[in-house]
Amino acid sequence: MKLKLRKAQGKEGDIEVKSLEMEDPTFESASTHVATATFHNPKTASFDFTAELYLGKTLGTKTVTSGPKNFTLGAGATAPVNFSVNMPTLAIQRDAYHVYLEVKQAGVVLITFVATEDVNVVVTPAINVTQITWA
Amino acid sequence: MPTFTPDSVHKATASFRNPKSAGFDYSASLCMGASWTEMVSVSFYLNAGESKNIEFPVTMPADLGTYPVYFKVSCGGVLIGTFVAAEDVRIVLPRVAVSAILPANTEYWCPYLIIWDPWTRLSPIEPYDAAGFAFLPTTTKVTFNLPISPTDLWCNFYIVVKVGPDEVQAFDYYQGFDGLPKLQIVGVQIGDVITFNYITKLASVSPQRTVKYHAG
Repeated sequence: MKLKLRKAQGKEGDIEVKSLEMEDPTFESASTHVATATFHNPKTASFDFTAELYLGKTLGTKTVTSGPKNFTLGAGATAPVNFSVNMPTLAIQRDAYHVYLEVKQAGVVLITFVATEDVNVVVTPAINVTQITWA
Repeated sequence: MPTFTPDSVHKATASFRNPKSAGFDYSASLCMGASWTEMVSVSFYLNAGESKNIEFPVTMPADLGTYPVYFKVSCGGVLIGTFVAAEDVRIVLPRVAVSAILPANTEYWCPYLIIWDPWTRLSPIEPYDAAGFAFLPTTTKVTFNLPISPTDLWCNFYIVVKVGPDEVQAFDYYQGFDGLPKLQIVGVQIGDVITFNYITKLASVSPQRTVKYHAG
């Protein structure tokens, strides 16, 4: 599914996110998933960027993160970048998190996007049983 | 293989473990037989990573046979797992332990044995005093005190099938020469105490019965 993004902080115009795609927004606790963001450099020069996708309750609170991903976009170029994220390990049966996509250039945050739809993390119930005894 | 008698009540205990990082309410059903007949259902809660022994009081089936045992476990009304026990449960007629005391230096006969057929499921009754016969409750275990030189002892057994508390529908007695095999006791010494377990089976209304002998 495609997630819609809006600006959470920073300045628009230095880089654009054409799309952010991920699987179904409900994920199993502690599972690993990959989201793909397609970035576009609207400038007339090439730049190096660092982007990080994280889940959190508030801006800057990184419950889980992909870690920084470095990439270069030439002038007017568009390229996809994959972000692998381990979902939070929940101690409750379900929780919801905002999805943030932070883009830096030369260590400075250019812009942080937030998805308009949260992801849900759930713990699917399971059970094991050992051998039965009779009395 | 666990072996029980029809309609008897027993307790199955199984250890359940929640392997997940969150706690859940579970409902587990113990089922028996190829048709997965639900015998009992128990609800319980397990914290994350918690193991707990869960007890299932089960009234055994009335029909004889071998029954596979299953568990169905649900959470929030959704079936999350089915498990099959490694061992089936066998339902058999109760085994009656009967024996008697033989005085030493007497004939090798034990005419006072009467097996109360457990198929009738009568409560253990008072000793029946006629001619020295006694009805023995199913739980009674009496032992032989062997007479002298019992190296080749033959015993004859009398069997009475009683179908009601006051009615002897099929009163038969069998001796070793009357269609039932004699019980041959060999390889025992003076002073040995041995126990014979009898299994009786009343297969239908007619007083058909099978008697098996197990020494020891």
